[in-house]
Amino acid sequence: MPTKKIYGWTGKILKIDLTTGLTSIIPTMDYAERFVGGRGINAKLHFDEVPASVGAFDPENRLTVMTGPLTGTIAPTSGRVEVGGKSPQTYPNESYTVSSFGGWWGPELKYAGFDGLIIYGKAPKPVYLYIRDGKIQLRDAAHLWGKDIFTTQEMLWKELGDGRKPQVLAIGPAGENMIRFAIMMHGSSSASGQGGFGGVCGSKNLKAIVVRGTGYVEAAKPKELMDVSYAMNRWIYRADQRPEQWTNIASFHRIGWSFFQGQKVKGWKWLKNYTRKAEACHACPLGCRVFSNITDSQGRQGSAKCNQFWYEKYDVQRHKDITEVFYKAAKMADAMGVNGFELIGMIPWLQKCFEEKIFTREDTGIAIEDVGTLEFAEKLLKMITYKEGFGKILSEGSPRAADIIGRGSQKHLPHMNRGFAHHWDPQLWSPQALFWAMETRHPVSSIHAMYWVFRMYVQELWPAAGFASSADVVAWSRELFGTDKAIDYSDENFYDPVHATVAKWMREYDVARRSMIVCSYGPTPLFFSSYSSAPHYTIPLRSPDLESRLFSLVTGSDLVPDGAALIAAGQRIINVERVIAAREGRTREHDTLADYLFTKKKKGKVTGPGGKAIAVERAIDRTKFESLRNEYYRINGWDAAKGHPRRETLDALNLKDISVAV
Amino acid sequence: MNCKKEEHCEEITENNEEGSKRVALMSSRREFLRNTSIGAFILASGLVPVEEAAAGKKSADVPKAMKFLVFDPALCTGCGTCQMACSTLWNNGKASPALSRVTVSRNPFGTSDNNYSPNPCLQCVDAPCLKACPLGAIKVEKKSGANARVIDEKLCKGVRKCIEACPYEEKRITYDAERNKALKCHLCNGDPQCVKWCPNGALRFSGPPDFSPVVEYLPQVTKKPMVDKSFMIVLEEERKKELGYPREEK
Repeated sequence: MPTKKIYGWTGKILKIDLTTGLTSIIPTMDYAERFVGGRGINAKLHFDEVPASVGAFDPENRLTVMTGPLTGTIAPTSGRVEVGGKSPQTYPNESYTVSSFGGWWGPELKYAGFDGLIIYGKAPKPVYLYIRDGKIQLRDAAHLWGKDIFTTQEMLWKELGDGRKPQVLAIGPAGENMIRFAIMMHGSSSASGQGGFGGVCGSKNLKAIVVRGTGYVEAAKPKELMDVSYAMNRWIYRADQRPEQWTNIASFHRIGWSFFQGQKVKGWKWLKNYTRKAEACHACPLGCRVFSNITDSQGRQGSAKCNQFWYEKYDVQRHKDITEVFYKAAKMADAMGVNGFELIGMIPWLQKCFEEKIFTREDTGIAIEDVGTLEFAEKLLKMITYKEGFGKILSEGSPRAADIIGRGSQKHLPHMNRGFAHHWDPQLWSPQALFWAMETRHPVSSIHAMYWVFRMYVQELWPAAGFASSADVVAWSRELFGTDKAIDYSDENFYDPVHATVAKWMREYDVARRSMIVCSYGPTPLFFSSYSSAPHYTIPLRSPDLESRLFSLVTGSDLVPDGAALIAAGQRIINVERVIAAREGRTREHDTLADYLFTKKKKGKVTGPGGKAIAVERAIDRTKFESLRNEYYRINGWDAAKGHPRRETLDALNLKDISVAV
Repeated sequence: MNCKKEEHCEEITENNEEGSKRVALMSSRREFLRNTSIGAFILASGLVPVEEAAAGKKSADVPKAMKFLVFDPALCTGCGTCQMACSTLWNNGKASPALSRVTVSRNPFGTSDNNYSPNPCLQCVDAPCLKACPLGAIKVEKKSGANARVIDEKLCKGVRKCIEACPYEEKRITYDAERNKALKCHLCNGDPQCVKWCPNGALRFSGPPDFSPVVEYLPQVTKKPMVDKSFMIVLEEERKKELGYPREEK
């Protein structure tokens, strides 16, 4: 019997046991019908293959690396890859989480013939995995072990290049030494950062995954796919043609973090003095990263995006101006394989602990007064990476380090939940508080999906940049949620149950998108554009039908025919992830926020009644927040006692195989 | 590869009221490469009669391309949208850099604005690929007025001599193994889609004598704070002369 032709997916997931070197193939379509790809398939693979008792650094942990049906096609922003597995970084327990990265590695994997990889076991000696047009090799990585991420890539390009560079996903010394927040990285700044999967690779003696493919990804309806993609591409491109107004994300990123901190002058200075051109992932018209003209000690230059600005604040404080120091520190962390996002939380925590004399210079060997200098960053990074002295404690990540140290250091942690450092302010937006409480990690992509309403594109909140009027914001709220209140973050409405609905919907949308895969950044404003009255932002595409349309045109399947089906797929995937979390012992007491968010007030400007900007100042009320979270459980069909999915909920989502296991 | 380009990149700086405008011209080592590659071909193939037939065609026999692709690496973000558009459109929905007639080279650690760059076919004046084809499958497309060198797929048998003859290290002609055909830029019958799709305007469709689309583009570029105030025109030696360059060439 002839098999049905598959479009979009390659149809093969490669499973590799590093202990024995044996490989096998799993048909993608066994999973894709219900879980699409990317984050969805990762969740199901993890559910099927990894028992809850397995630790992050155990050989039995699976590192799943998945692309989606759109990856490697012309669909805009379709270059990303999803990573999943038991994470060493999550706190209080090592639990399943996800991470993703962009660049060109994912498309190359599909051109080489695979939708994804399941990697388990532990190689007897350091190896790297080389996949070239369907051929798989585990090669000796003795010469690469100990090398930084950039050098590793250069060496592998030289070793394996055939006129074109293979795409290399590598770990640095931090990953090799299994620090809990080590990254995997590809190119100059495409990293799978949060989750600490670099350390998981290190625990498996896997230095790099190198892919090179000359195959193709075939779309079922290329003509229509090109039409839709072109409209999206043009829309974003057109936004980019208005740089003087800074109307888009790419422009924000090119200006840099300073701009976000309200230091416009310094932002401009970074842009004018230290940057040269933008960098984009596969098929992305945005290009949110920017190449710097700052050369490192090895004679390399590279690109940076927002989270590579983790040291900038200290650089500015120290030097009274923006200098090369912050960028050099960021690139040093990248090269070693240390996740800068954790340092965003760790440095203020260290400062506070020194201030409170919880530990001293003698205890730690850290001269905290030098913060802002390159020497300080270098010393701290080396200490962590090579687990030297106090660095051994810090390499556990700040929350675990605080537990080891004790002495009240825990209460100074700026970590919001699951051991991830503060990002954005849940005191201002209730859906965001729910994202932070419910996600398996730092919920950055859900936050990105809500940028529009939170701040970025609302004219009233940011007159220079916003394109959406108050009326647009209200129309969005009314159309999707049947009420005007979904965008109302005034004190009176902050705990309204509708925010639980928004949070649920937005998480599902985000997760479904991360299964396709399209970037949580790029098309977001496009999706909302159909609600915008600004003429140059209108496009005859109604979303979230947009993503489902791209999906249908690439795959030719009717699995996700419209936006509602897309949201339903997201719901199914979130339930699988929730069952995994429940199995790992997560209950309602973990679905919360750090204590300081309930006590420390935050000032800010948000949308209030009628989509108008209002100023608020508040901390989160614990009791009211918990009732909002209970509402979130209720609408998800999860039980109130533990927040675990009910069996009938899973059955209704076509997850009978999972409900049996509950 | 890019590094080669960087080595041979010479910059000419002119002053105007907007500040410095940079026009960088690349001397591509075309002559050298062409001579060596054709030389190697004769030695290796031993197909003397075929080579004679090809060599029989003089430069003067092949009309010059009147329009072709020019590009500015400084605007290229490396997204590869051009190669996705090219391959999807001309290979029945198959997206792949390996099937694209325009490729993108990337060096994420490169120190020059050339580190990411599209590599379009420049429709060489002397058309070495056309002359190298033993089957005469590469022809000049005259209908659109661009005089693109195009492969007649009915005649192409996948010999790949054209790829060998292509003077660039990053070959401008690719090979579709599944169909056993060489794939070469045909300028989309006078409306190149890569130009239309590039989100950053890094590719332009232009031609002698004045390269007007490029010149028109300059003021737009200077408005963009992100990019360098230049449009880097990558040209063959012959084309440079048409433009009045080299002005300061050694």
